[in-house]
Parts: sequence; structure tokens; C-alpha cells
Amino acid sequence: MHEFTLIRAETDEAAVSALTAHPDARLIAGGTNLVDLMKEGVETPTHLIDINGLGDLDRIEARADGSIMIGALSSNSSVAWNADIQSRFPMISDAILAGATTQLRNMATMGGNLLQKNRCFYYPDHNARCNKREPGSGCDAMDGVNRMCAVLGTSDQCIAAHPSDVCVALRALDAIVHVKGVEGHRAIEFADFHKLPGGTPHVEFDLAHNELITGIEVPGLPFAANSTYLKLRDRTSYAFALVSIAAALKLDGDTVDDVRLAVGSVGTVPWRSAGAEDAMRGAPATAATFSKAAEIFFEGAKPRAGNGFKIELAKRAIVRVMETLKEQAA
Amino acid sequence: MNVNSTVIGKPISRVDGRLKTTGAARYAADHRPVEGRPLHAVLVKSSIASGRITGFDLSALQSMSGFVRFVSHLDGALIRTIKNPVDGAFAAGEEYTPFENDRVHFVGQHIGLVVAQTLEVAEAAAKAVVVDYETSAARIEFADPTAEVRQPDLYNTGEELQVSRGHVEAGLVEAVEIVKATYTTPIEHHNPIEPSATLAVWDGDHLTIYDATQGSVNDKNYVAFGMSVDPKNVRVLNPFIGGGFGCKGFTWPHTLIAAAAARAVEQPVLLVLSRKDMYTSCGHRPYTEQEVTLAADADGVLTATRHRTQSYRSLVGDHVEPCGMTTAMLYQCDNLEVTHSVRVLNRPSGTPLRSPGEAPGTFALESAMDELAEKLGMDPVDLRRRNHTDIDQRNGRKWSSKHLLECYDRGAEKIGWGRRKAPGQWRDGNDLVGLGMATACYPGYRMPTQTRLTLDRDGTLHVGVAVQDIGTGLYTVLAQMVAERFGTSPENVRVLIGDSDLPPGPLAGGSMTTASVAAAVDDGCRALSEKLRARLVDMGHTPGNEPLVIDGGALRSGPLSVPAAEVIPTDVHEIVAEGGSDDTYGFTGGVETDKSFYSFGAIFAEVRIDRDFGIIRVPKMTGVFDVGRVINAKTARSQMLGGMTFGIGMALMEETFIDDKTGRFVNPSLGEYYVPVNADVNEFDVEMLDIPDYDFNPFGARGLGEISNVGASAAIANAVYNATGIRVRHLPIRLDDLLEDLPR
Amino acid sequence: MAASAHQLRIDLTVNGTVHGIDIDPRTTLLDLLRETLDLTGTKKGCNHGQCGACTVHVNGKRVLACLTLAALCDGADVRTIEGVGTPEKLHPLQDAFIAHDGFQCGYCTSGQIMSALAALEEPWGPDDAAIKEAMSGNICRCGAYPNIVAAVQEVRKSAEGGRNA
Repeated sequence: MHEFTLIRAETDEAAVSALTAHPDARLIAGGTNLVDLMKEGVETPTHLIDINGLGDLDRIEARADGSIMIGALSSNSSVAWNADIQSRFPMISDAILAGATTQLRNMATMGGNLLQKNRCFYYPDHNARCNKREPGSGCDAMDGVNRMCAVLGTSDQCIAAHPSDVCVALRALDAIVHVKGVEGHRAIEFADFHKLPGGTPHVEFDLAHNELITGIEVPGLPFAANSTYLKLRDRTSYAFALVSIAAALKLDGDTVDDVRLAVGSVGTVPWRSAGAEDAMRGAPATAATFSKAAEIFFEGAKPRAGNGFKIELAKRAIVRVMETLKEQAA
Repeated sequence: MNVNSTVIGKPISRVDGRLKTTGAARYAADHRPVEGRPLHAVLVKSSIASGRITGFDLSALQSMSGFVRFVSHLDGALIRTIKNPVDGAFAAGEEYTPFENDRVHFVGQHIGLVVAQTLEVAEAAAKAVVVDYETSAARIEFADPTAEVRQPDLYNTGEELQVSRGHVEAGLVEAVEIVKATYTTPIEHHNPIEPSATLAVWDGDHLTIYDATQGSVNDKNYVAFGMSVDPKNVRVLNPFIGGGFGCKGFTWPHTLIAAAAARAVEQPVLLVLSRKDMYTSCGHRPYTEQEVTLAADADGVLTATRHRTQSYRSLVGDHVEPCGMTTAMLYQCDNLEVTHSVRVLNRPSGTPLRSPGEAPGTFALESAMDELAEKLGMDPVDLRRRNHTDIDQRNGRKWSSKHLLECYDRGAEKIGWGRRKAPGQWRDGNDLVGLGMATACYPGYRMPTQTRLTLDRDGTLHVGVAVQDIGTGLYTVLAQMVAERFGTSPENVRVLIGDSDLPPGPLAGGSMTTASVAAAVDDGCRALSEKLRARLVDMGHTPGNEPLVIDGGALRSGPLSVPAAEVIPTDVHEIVAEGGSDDTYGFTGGVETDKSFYSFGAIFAEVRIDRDFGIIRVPKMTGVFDVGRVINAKTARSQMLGGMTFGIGMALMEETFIDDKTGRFVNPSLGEYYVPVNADVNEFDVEMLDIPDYDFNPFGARGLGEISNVGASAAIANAVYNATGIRVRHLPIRLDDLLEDLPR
Repeated sequence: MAASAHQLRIDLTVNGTVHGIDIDPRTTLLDLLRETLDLTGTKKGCNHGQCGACTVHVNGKRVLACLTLAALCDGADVRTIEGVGTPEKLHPLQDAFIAHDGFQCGYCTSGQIMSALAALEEPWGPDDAAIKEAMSGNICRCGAYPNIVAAVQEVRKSAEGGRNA
């Protein structure tokens, strides 16, 4: 690990100004991802700004309008077991509990989760080429072991899949990311927060270096009470997803009244398809409808040699999840 | 032997359990020098697969406060050159001398060592070393046509690797059904949760090392050779080892490097390998390609068997994955050909990994048997029964004790084999359900072992032998064996192992420790008993012919009872006897015998596979084993659970990827190399027939550690076929292997 | 400790004992426990949060000591395996691990027990499937999983019995 100086921030403003003062500083909260990457030498901050002392940022506030404001320092565990989250947005709780382990969830914060790095095998290996780690160096995953990599949103620079579970649920729910910077507060649509790799795979977030994530707002969505998260993986627990589905369904009789659908580990960012959701809205809630939506979802997918199976797997998973939600709704 | 023993076979809790559950058991990296703290060392490893080191740039290290020393080949001869091949005095993981010269043979080779005051500084310094190389052409790809191909004659046990009998071509002509298929198994890593670690402490020309090794005596001899000191001056301590599974069996370069560095800096040095280091520093199971041909007549009787294994070795390690050894032995077949070839590649070295040869070999053989049964329209268990033999097919000898048919019967009954349906026909909700089975087997090995038995004035017995408990339960088993011989409770026995200064014993590998110590303990107890009887006679007592019992602080023989404190003179404190056995079984130079020694078993697996996703779960596995007498029912069962769990990992998830261009392992971690977690494991039903094999040793025990892993992957693969009708001929079997063809 | 240019003072409580220590900011809680405080019961298996061997409790929650910077533990209350029981006076969970043979080599055991202790206080359900999931962050390469589940269940049931009595 490179040497660094620790700064303890007592206020949001102090954290922001410390970031402003040190261009190679990093904030640290749970540290589960950052400390790991510091050990790998992928992250080499000159300063670590400890934000665990920031007062109110670990609150989970269930509001009367059905929305919930999740403080950025809320631990994954506290969110997963929160009764309001479980009743209003079960897919969030399901997604968190499907990720990592209790030890890691006790440490990891929600703000940190949004910034989770990819798990491409080549990313932490300094002897491998990786445009995300070292812009312009190339991409060994392209023709290497790419079974875990993305099929949607890829570029000729990067095919790393976004690995988060909870971000898939937050994407489905159109969460809003609240950040604080020198200019004050800013709200970012979840869809805009994670950036496609394009020609700059090292630019991953719509977040300035000196901005602090303060909270994640999940807007009220009554039918999200009928939602779930399905994670398919190589071992029963403690494994990253091959494919995951976050979905919510509202029926009007036998017809789909409204729907949310996001798929994880298939895209370079948590993936949503307006076309797929539109195809279900107003259509009969049948396997044929769900199947058609799944086809639309993966239009334009670009598999590599090792990850084509994800497309078929995800399509089947979409149908299974929608059928499950349909049964639950009935 | 007291078959109604109150000690042998009983499910006694581990005598070291209190230490292990409280964190008080000290593993290699937990020890400290008598005074002060050790320096910390971190390895610098090559990033190229072939070439030479042209220089190190250490400029970034000099300014690091706490940096002590960088050690490399530039320091001259720190380690005595190891002959190639090694002369048999010890077993080295690799046949080269670390830091001998500038040559690089594979990615991950140890090329330097940073020593620093603290671990944080040592890690930062190791990262800051810049290495300059001159790269040369490397042969990495398995199919590289320029790679040298060798056909080694013998495995490290002395067993023939190229076997031929009868006429395979003639047998093929006789057959009505022939299965010919190629099966592959991936690179796999042992991944014990304890990484290898060495604490080296010099005192003049005496060296004490606390090492995570499966063999303290071998370690001592190799380190003494490498350090050019008398083996008497080297003491290896390994009272607790955090698993090994083979990667701590032979002594690897890092142990010598730590010892050399400690001598160079004249301070104790602690080297703990990182998880990534573990992938290239102490072996792996190499990739195998196995072409199996089985031919049978209309009755299912094998008329020809051929098993050709291709694997690879490194430039500096001679491990051969001996997949066909089982095939040469197991089923009645007069026409057989077993071959092994290895390609010499610029890859890290292989080494035995839990049931080397048997585990990947039975995946191929027992999958092929399943395919043959399918072709013949025959029940797979029945096919195996028809080819059962009471004669070791390699040499015509009878088995010392073989009860495999009972294993098939009991296993089939316990798993509910009668429920099995035609492939793809058993559905339950979203699940496709299937049953599969395979034969398990593993040789009976024994090595020369000596013991020291001691009685002290409290009436406590002590047994000492330089063997080690890598989790098998040996501490407890030794206590039980001695307790049995003296009619007492294991609580009255103190067990001393994990110290190379004790009377020598074998390394913990090849499932041979229990059988080896059994003979030695038996003889040691006899020797102590004779001494004690002689002492009783000297004291004027007349001990009867009844066995000598030592219990409650007294020696008893029939009506005679004398307190130990009276038997043992005050000026000696204890009576010591040594005993042992020089016999070897199963290896070159073994005892001449008209019998063959093997353990057998049958493994059955039930799988449930999601019909849409292809996710495979194993709700139940049944294993019935014929492993001789069970010494401890509790720890034996645990070993079997562990082996079957290993089998689930091998069948469904374990694989190390190698980059064919650079020779790097791509997923050298526990995050990207999956081993089973708690949630992957469901019901295990384990039964041991518990039939003593007294021809093998006086306690009648054979080994347990490896056999439970043998056949498990084939049983699961065969169950996957039964559930889906999809035959997967490679491991691991993952959902993407099934997805397209699932019978939805 | 002669190490870094940047030394940092922290105060933390480990198993009820208060320590004031100067640390290298890079030091993880795991290395602090093992190399400075000589509490070697907590093990390093992977050093990257991928095995669970280093599980300890910080402020009552189970966490991975290998990914926890000691610098962030100023004022923290840490509990390790050494604070649970001793060979002479075992905690009931340690007794249960021995009785059910919930370990073989013993290396992952400290982490398993620290996890199990915490899991018994977490809102998991009572069935084996829940226990297995709750314990899936602790890899046991020897494969003692069914025995670990049995040990945890024994303690859970006896605690439940105690509450109901």
C-alpha cells in the first residue's frame, strides 16, 4: 500500500474542501472496495478522508409521500433489514442481501456502493492491459477470460460489467443521487450517474472529484411493494452475479399496468430498457409478453467469446421473475 | 485387538478442540521468536514467463523508513545448489535452487525478497522494486507444437505410468459397444485457508523454523541441505497447519528463501505468502486431457480399456498428474493400455492436490463407465458389479480387504437409487432431478515411522512422533491408539507431534499417516509395556499375562495394581521406550507381499437443476467407504464430508484460468476462484463399513483423506447427465454448459 | 514501530482492554491485532475480503479485519476470538463447535465462531437454510459446513429454550 495521510472530516464542508485541496485524495467510509484496491496498488491516494464521522448521513428516512431517503453512510445491512425498505422496496433489500456477505455488508455504505469498481479479472492486475486502470493501455478481457463481462453498453475500449447488486434495484426505481460540492447541492438521476465506457472507460461516474455523495433518494412507487431481485451465480452465496434481475410489476386484471425492469451484470452500467418496459405496459401479463420484452431488452447486445450465454440466461430470468411477480400480484 | 474397544472407533471430540476454537492454537505465522519481533518479508515475483533478469532498480526503496534489505540472486550463493534431479534425501516441490541465477522459467517465480521492519513497509517496498528483464520465447499454450513431450516411466510413488497388457485392438473387435471420448479437467488450486508461512530463527548455526508444512522431517532435511548445515541443527515446528491438501507436502523455494534471508540479515524473518503468491509458489493440479476408450460385450463385460492422459509440467518441477493409475487397477479387463504424457511448458509447477490422478482420472473413467452403461442399456451400478474383480489387475494379487460390492449396495439403498429415471425424465417444479454414481478408490500407503512412548510418575502416557495434524484429527487418533493399547482413556495420553526433533514419521500426504503411525504406535506400546513389566519384576511383583493397563495413575495387570509413582524411580521421572516400523507399503522398495492394499467406496449424488437456468445444486450425496477400521468415527466422518465438499467444488466451480499469451494466472484469488461456501452444501450421508485390514497394520486402518474426493466429480457429472440428458466431459460443469440444451 | 513518516495515534478497546497505539496509517485492523497486539487468534486467509477468516466484531457488528484500516478504529470497541472464551473456560458456542466437530484444520475457526456469534443476534430465520446463508461469508476449505450448521443450531435452540423457559 502506498503511504497516505489520513484526514478526519467532521462536516460535509470539511470533506469537500479536503477533496478540493488534494487532487489525489479519496473519501473512505466502509473501505471494502477502496482498501482492497489500495492493497492491489490500483488506488494510490495521497490522502484518505475519513467521512465516517459525518453526523446525519447514516439515517434512513421513510417519508409520507412513499419515498425513502437513504443516507450515504447507511450500511448495506441497515438498509437491507430496514422495515420500510422491506415493505416499500423489497427489491432493494433482496438485492443487498444477495450481495457479498454479512461482514462486508456491515462495513459497506450505500454511498460507497454507488462507486463500486468492476470485477473484471484484468482490472487489478498490473501486468495486464486495462483501459480502465491505465487509459490507452488496451483491454486484455476483449479476447481473454470474459465470461463475467458485459454484453450491453460496451465499447472497443472496455467490456467490464457493472458488478453491483443494489445499483440494479436503484436503477429500476429511478433513484436520485444527492451530492454536495463547493457549489452546493446537486441531484443526479440514477440513469445519468454511471457512465458508459465509450472512449473514456476510466471516467465512471457523473461525480466531480470534490463532490460528496450525501444520500440516495428512492421516489415513492406504490407498486414496488410487489418487487423482487433474482441473482444467478456460480455458487449459492458470496459470488458476483452472472445475471441479475430487479423488477416490479403492477397488474390491472390480466394486463400489465406498470412495470420496472433492470438487469445487472450484463451491462457496463446497471441496465434498463424503456422499449422492453413499454412493450409490457398495457399488454396481457403472459409469458409471451414477458418473453417479447426480454427480446427487446437485449436488442443490440454484443457478446464476446465467453459471455454470450448471459443473453439467453437473462432473457429466461426476466420471464421467470415477471411470472413470479404476476403470481405475487394476483 | 480388542474389537469391542471402548476407545477405537468412538466419536471422540478432538483433543485439540479447545485450542482451535479459542484461537490459542498457533499456526506458523502465529509464532514469535523468543525475544523481540521478527522482520517481515515479502516476495518479489517474475512477471514474465521466460527470460533472464538484467537488473533491479531499488531506488524507491532506499528512502523507505523501515526497509532493511533486498535479497536476490545478486547476493551470491545464499542457498546451496540443489542437484537435478534431487537425490532422494528429501522431496522438493521444484528442482531448482531459488536465487541461483538470473533465469526465469515461469510467471510468479521468486526472484527477490524484501525484508523490512514492518509488514506495511515490506509490502510497499516489494511493489516498488522495478525489475528489468530480457525476455525469451516462452512455451505456454498447452497445444504448443514446439513444446517437448515426455512419457515419464514412473509416478513419485514408483508406480508405472505406462501400462500395457493383452491386446486392446483385439478387445475392441470383440466388443458390441465402445465408448471413446475425451475428458478434460482444469487447472485447480489447493487454496488451504492458511497461506504458506515460514518463520526462520537462527541461533549461531542452529536454525529453528516454524513452517506451514505437511512434512516437518522432509522440510528439515531439505532446509539443512539448502543452508549447508547438519540436519541435526535444524528444527522444524508445525504443531498446527491450516490445511494443505498437497500444496504444503513437499518443501518449496519460499521456505529456503526465508531461512537464507534470516541468515543474511542476522535476525528472525517471517515470510507469509499472499493469496496471490499461493497460486504460483506451491503447485497446482495441472490441466488434463484424457482420452478414454471402453469396450464391452453384450453382458457389459469390459473387453478393452484405454486411458491416455496428456498433461503438462513446468521446466523446474516434475509432477505428472497420474490419471490412469486407477484405470489400470480397478475393473477386470485383460486388454488394457494406460499412457501418460506431459508437455514441458513455461508454467508454474504442478504438485499433488488431494487425490492426484485419482480425482481427475475417475472423472474421466467413471464418466465413461456411465456412458457405456447408457449405450448398453444397463444400470450403471450393475455395469460396475459385472466388472468387479477380487484381483488387483496390475499384478494379479488378491486384495487385502475389499468390500466394494457392499459399498454399491449400501450406497444405492441410502440414496434411493430405485427412484432414478431415464435421462431428462424426472421433473419437480422448475427442477430437473437426477441421480449419478461413481466408484471411489485410493491406494493404501504406509511409510517407515518411529515413536517414543513415555510414562510419567502421574501415570500419564506420552506419545511422540514427527508427524502432523493438518486437520485430519491425528492428535485425537494417536491418543486413542495409545489409550487402546493401555486400556485407558485418551485423556490420559499426551500427544506430541509437529516437531522434527521427535522420532521421524512421514509427511501428511497420500492418506498414509494413520496407517503409518498405527504400526509404529503398536510397536512403541509393546516396547514400553515390556520395559514396564521388567520394572515390575525388578520391584518384586509378578505381573500376569493379562495386558498391562495404565489408568488412574496406576499400572495394573490382573489383580496386580502398582501406582506409577512407585514404578518410576524418583530420579528418572519417566520411563521411555522407542518403537516403530521400517516397513513401506505402496511405494518403491515396499514390503514383499502377496496382497494389494487399496481403499474402495461408492459415491452417489442427487442433483437438482433449474430447467431454465441450468443452475446445478447438490441436495444430497451419499458415500459408502471401505477404508479399513475407523479409529475415530467423528473425525473420520468429518474428513469424508470435507472430501465430498471438495468434490462439489471440483465438479461445479473450481478453475484457474491461464493467459496463453503471457503465462499469467488470471484469477489468483478466493474472490474469482470459487470454492464451495456453506450454502452450497446440503445433506451428506456418510457410511464406513469399518472392516479392519489387519494385513495392513495392527490397528486395521487404511487412509481417509483422499478417497472421499475420488469419484465425487464423476458422480455429480453423471447425475447431471441423468437429470438433463446432457453429457458434459469437462470440469467444472457450469450453467452455461447446459443452457442451450436443457430439456425445458 | 519505526515505519512510516506519517504516524498516527489511535485509542481502541480490544476485548475490554484499552490500548493507545502509534500506528502506520496503512495498518489494517488485522495486522494491528496480530503483529502489534499479538492477538494471533484472528487469521489472515486472503487479505482481500474473500474468505472471512479475519472476522472480528467492531462496535458489536461482525466485520472483516483485513479490509478495516486500524486508523478508522479510533475509539472503537473490538472483540476478537480471544475475548470469547479460553481453553479453560469455553463459550457455549465453542463447546458446540467441538461437540459437532465444526472444524478440521482449525484455521478458519476463529472467523467462523465470530461470525456465528454475531449471526445469532442478527435477524436471520431459524432454519438451516438461513444459517447456511448467514455463515456463507466464512470459507472452510476442509468442508466442515454441516457440522458448523449443527453447532450454531444447537446454541440457537438452547438460547431459544432459555428465553421460552
